[in-house]
Amino acid sequence: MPRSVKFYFGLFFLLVMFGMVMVFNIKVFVVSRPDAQVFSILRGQILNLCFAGIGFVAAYLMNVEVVRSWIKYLLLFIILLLLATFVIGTEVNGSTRWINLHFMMLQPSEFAKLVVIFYLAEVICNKRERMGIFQELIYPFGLVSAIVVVIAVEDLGTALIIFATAITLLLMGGMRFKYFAALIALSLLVVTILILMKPYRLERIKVWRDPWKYKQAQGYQQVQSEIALGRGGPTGVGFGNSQRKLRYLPEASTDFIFAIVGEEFGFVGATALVAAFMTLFVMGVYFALSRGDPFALYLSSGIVLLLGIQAAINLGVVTSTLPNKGVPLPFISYGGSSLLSSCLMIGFLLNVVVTDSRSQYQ
Amino acid sequence: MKREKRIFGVIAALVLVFFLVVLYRIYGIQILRHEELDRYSSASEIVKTVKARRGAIYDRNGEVLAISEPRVDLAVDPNGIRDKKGIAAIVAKAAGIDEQKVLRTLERKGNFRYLKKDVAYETVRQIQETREKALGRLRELERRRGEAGSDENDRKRLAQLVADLNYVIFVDGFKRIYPQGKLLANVLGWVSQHDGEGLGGLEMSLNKHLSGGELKIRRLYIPGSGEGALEIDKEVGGQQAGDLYLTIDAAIQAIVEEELDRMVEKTKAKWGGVVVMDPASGRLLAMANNPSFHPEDYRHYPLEKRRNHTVADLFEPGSTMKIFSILAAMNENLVRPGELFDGHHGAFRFGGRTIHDTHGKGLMTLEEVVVHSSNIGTVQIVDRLASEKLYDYFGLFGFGKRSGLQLPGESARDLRHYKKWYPIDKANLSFGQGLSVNMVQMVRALAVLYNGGVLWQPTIIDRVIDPVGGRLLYETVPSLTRLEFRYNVDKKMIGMMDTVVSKGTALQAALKGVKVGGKTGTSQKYDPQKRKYSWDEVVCSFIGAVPSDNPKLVMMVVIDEPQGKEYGGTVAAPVFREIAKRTLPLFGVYVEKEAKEIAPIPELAVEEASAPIEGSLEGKEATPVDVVTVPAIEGAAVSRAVYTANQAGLDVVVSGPASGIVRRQAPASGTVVPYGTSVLIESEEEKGEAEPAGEEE
Repeated sequence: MPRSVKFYFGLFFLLVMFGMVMVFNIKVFVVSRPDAQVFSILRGQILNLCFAGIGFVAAYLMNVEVVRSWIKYLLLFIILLLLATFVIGTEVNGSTRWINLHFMMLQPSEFAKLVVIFYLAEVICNKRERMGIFQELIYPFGLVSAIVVVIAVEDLGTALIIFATAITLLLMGGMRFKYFAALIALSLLVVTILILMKPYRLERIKVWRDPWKYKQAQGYQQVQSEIALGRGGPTGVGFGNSQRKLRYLPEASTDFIFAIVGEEFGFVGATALVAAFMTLFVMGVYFALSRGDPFALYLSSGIVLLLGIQAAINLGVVTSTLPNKGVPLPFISYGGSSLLSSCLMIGFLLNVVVTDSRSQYQ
Repeated sequence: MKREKRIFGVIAALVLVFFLVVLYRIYGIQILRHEELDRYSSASEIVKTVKARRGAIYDRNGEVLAISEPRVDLAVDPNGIRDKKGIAAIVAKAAGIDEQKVLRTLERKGNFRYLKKDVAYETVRQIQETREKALGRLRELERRRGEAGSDENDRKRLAQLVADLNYVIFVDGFKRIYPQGKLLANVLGWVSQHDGEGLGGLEMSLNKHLSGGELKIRRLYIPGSGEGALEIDKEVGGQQAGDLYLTIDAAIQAIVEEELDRMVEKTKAKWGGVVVMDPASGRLLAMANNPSFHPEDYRHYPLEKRRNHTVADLFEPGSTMKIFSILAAMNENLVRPGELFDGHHGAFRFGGRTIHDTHGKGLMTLEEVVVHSSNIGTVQIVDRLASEKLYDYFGLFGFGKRSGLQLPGESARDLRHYKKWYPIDKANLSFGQGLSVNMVQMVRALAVLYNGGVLWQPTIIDRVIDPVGGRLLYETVPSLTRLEFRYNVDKKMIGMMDTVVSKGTALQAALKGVKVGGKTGTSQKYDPQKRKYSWDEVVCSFIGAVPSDNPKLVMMVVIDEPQGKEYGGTVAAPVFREIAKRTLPLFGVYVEKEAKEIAPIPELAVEEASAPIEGSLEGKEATPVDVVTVPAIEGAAVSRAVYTANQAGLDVVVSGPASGIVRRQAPASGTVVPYGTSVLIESEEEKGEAEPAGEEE
């Protein structure tokens, strides 16, 4: 196993563990009667960690060819699951993204990410040069778009991340730039129409530009996030001393966990965490670019890009660089499905990297 | 594969650039806007100054005697509330009070009115929850403002409700709890229900340590979700109150009080008191009064029941004093063992007056003088001692000196200087008349005999400790003076006192298997109207130590004005015995069970005399000890009352504001008390207009 893979794994493992500690730290203080609920929080986290660990090991050891041959059924399965959430989904915080499996809350959109990447990698490798032809492109693009639309109903952030990753993979696979340009134009048109239909949607942009004007309403979360970060200052208020996690900042343990990291560990800690993500991303990009096998290239590119974009969007939202569209911070944020899906992705990434480099040097 | 890698590289570079943008944003927020944003976070915190929680009082084993617990009072600001009916309904329901009553309070003018003191936590929670729910819905409506279906009237109503509920005020305070009820009440004292300051007993004398200072609290307000808002307090500075540890042992105190109560009830006595001291250290182990009171509702008890008579009352020690005067003569080697004294068959001329013994005897040994409590014998023995020496010895036994206990209102009177004594005064003093002492002084003096000559400054306060830091704030360092006993006179006197119990007047104090030494006392009270001592009102006492060969306890029992013809040996000694029997096992001393009833008291035991000098009332020093009639000071200004009382020769302990007027006094006006007794007065701030100028002299 190359040394870089070991380093990559080490950094990834450290982030997961840091996430565990931070989530516990936040959740314990949010509950009203800590003594009664600490155990259930701890149990939930340990359970999540176990699933994630098993997922990672399985993905790392699994023969990717097997997954490739099943990809059509997996795709069908995930679409069914996504549709099922509309029927038997459980509502949390106003959106229905979860299926209650009783031992965990399954969020199919999280797994759709990986399935879409696998599917596109497989399709592109099969069609190769034919991807430039419009008729060949239309089917996979349509399918992925359908999945994205289904996800977008309840979880716009994840849908956008999948869509961006998918477009990149298609572009790499040979999609013409004129289609890409047309797609951009089409998107702008749709957005304009949506805004014209309901003008208050424009307010989202206004809120993003100046959340302080709306600090008691739509801008509340972003304002609280900025206050938390700002309170941290250069070196932070110290581990466990966050004030804003105490019900001030909604989603403190999930989408806005980075704000609490910034509050407790300050600019130094926040920068270190961003640097860790950048390191993982740059190393991932390097891994992807050194792949010889086309499938390995597309799979690793998709995974690295998706996780990178997700982290970037999360950080962008927390720092008000982007409008508020919540996505979890990979590895760190609370959420069993999110953690499991991230670990599966890293597992598959390291799997193809190790397998491919072994075949390259043989 | 070059093309796809190039495209991927470009997209990845874009993501990387975005990461850098994020870093720049973080820099902007965390470094450049740090101070600006920090102000917002401090806005949800308030730093306020609160009174420190009053320190607790513990016994010597750490058992809680008094403790303060948080209390919340419910108040309103009637000026701020607009929808009075709506608020009245919410508050009345939560607090369980009459809605009309609340409404009446709300309709009055003013910025602050109490609705109910010491409300339940549930009440606070309900009101806060109502507000939080209204606020939550208000936020929701504000968010949807302008959208279809949002009701503007609803929003206004909620905004009004939230604003009104802000004027429902919760006042944090403390309530004083005495978990042991009446136990040690007269010593502990009580605290004001109004402002929590100590008004009596130790609560008053150690108020400085117990009440502590002001604490700086940083209170973080946490917005509510379903469970209502939370407030997290963090102490950031200020002075904590100290916890007080006493030398009192609650277990012994409980036994003492039980036995005392039993006897006082049985004899329908006016008052009874017990003081128990460890002779080896001067530490007080118990200090009991009956009648007593419950400190938590002190207002329902007359002031007289709240006095600590064991230190506040002065009395003439009577026969018990003979122990000390004879001991002085023995220590100066002026009495030889086996020497005989002529009892003159009950009448003896001395200093121009006739001294009587109730049971006249012929020749008596020294031991018989003590056991029979012979006045005539005592006078002859003490006459060999120079007045100066007797005066010095009394000083070494602590008479005429305050005990130094930090209890308010200890009465004490200086000994008259020996140069001012008339010849008869020496005789008087030798058998305990013409001087006044309190119970603690007596116990302290007896401890000198039983611990080999050490005069301890008695202690009741062991230490005061800062409950947070564990820092010692105050500690009693007992001071002591020594009296050197020569020729084993202390052993001889202890032996004679054992005889008093085994053969003399104090048979009822005897225990099986344990040596008890002691002396009874029965004093007639002086009736100033008839200008003579009266047999109708007597003070019965017993003072003793147990086990007398290795004393663990020195104790004095006083039963004041028992009904019927009673003596120290019949009412005080049994209390001593019962207390000793039950407490000695706590010290590892085995007490055998008594096989049979105590033998009936022989005639000897009923020998007591307190008016031994006939005709003394007609002389210049008409009263053996100066007595004072307590003046009426109720209703007067405190300064005036103190002046009046001091002029009459009384000390004053003021419970309450020094600028107020006297509401109650104890003892009541017209009572005859020894000169130097301390009077307890309860004062209140005068209501209405300020005091007219020139009131004070």
